[in-house]
Amino acid sequence: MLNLMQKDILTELVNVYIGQAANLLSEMVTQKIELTIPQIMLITVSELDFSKYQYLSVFSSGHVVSSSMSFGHEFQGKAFLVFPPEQAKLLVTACTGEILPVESGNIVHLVDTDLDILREIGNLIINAIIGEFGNLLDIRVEYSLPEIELISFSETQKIFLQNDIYILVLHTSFTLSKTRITGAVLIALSLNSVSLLLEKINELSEDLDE
Amino acid sequence: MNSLFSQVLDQVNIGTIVVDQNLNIVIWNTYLEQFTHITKEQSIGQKIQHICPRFGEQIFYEILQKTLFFGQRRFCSGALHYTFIMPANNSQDDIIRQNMQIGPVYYNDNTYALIQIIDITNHLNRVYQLKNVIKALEVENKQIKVSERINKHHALHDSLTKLPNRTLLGEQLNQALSYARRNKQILAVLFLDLDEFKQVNDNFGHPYGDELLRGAAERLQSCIRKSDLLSRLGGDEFIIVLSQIKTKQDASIIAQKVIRAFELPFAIYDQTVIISISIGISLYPVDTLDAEDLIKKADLAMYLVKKSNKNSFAFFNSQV
Repeated sequence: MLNLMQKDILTELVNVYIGQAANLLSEMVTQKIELTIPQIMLITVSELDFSKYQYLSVFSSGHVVSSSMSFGHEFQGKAFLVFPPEQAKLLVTACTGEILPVESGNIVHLVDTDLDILREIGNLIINAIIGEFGNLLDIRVEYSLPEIELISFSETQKIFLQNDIYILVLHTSFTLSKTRITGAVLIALSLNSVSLLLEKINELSEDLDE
Repeated sequence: MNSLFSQVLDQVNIGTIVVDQNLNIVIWNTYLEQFTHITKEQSIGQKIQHICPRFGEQIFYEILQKTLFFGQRRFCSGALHYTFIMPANNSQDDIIRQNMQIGPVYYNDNTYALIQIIDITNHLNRVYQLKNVIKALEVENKQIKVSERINKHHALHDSLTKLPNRTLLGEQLNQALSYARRNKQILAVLFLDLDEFKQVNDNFGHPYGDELLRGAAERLQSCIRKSDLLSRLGGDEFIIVLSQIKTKQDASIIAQKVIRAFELPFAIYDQTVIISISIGISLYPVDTLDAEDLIKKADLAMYLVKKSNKNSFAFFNSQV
């Protein structure tokens, strides 16, 4: 879906955006947080086959914690920051400075204050990316408040099950206090919005060529 | 409009502030008056950072700016940020947690920021209490599991020699038999009994007898491989199960090894004790296919050894 040049430009852009989000996040939790987007893909809903993306740890488990926001106007869609529950718990405890108890087995207790924190982190990161896309396209974006939910694998797929929806998959990696946490930002975009974004990126690449 | 909306707003149980693009407070509801003891007259028209110092902090100042000029909406959790609006006569001991939501409102070509402060202190306290209960339950659960393991170990092992007892032997022997069956191997059960053990108890007392049993268990252990089983049936009776052997000969080699091992005296406290051992051997599948029966037949063979010369071993013989 993206050619090599478009992919490179987009990767560079979102890494700048997410860097700003990382700074905000670091200030909030008063510790150094690094955020990177090592992988980017643009796919259509019909291509969305989670089993193909097993290397994204997000998709390997049954449930994910999702912090999502809708945005609208000319640039329209819905963005999700998703984590496997155990990664989400790691992130929350690292943020609050709590010591993570050694959990027996796979039981992860996410209480609602944990979800509040994830909601805030999702809010911050999605705002940063979508807001900057808005700036890039010179479009005013309207946002909803973030929602947080625990969704299962199959539901994740259902969310996107509409035609003409493109999904920008940003593999996200958090590094804080020696812990590395991986999640993903999924941005579902309408065909129009994708076209706008790609046009702008093509413009940028032409500028580079000149 | 003013009266209905402001009445509604004043009854809402959420701290509600509206600021304009110059950060001047436009709306300050009754909830906030009661919470902070700062009246509408004192707050409206003032800069928000003068009334609520937290909004003068870089992070929240920027959030306000992004709302007013870029239309962003933000949610800030009390779990991370604690308090946004300080209550009147706040003592340092009170821990107050508030969630904050902030978003743009557009009216008459102007953009305003609507700040909502939701008190989650009580809710959080309950969450923490629950967390503690869960933690306590987990600790208790862990302790129960540990003691369960200990109990299980006690139930399956002999407390004196720490060897598997009759119950565990039964399980292990059955496993060894099914393994032998699957792999078409033979298996030997050795029934061992110390000769004249009663005299040790009678002459020196039970502590000496117990110590001798412990020493005997160690010596038996040293005669067998890791894959073999050693168990104490009770009294001075032991069982060895030899799995993965090739011939009957292999079983007699081990039996001879045990007998030789008992030629050396045992040093028990201040005494030196010499004791020999009698061994009866039964074989799977030649003698029987059944676990219980194997033990019984080995016992019978041992009994015959005892009756004749002791300090030696014999195989079960159906003719006798």
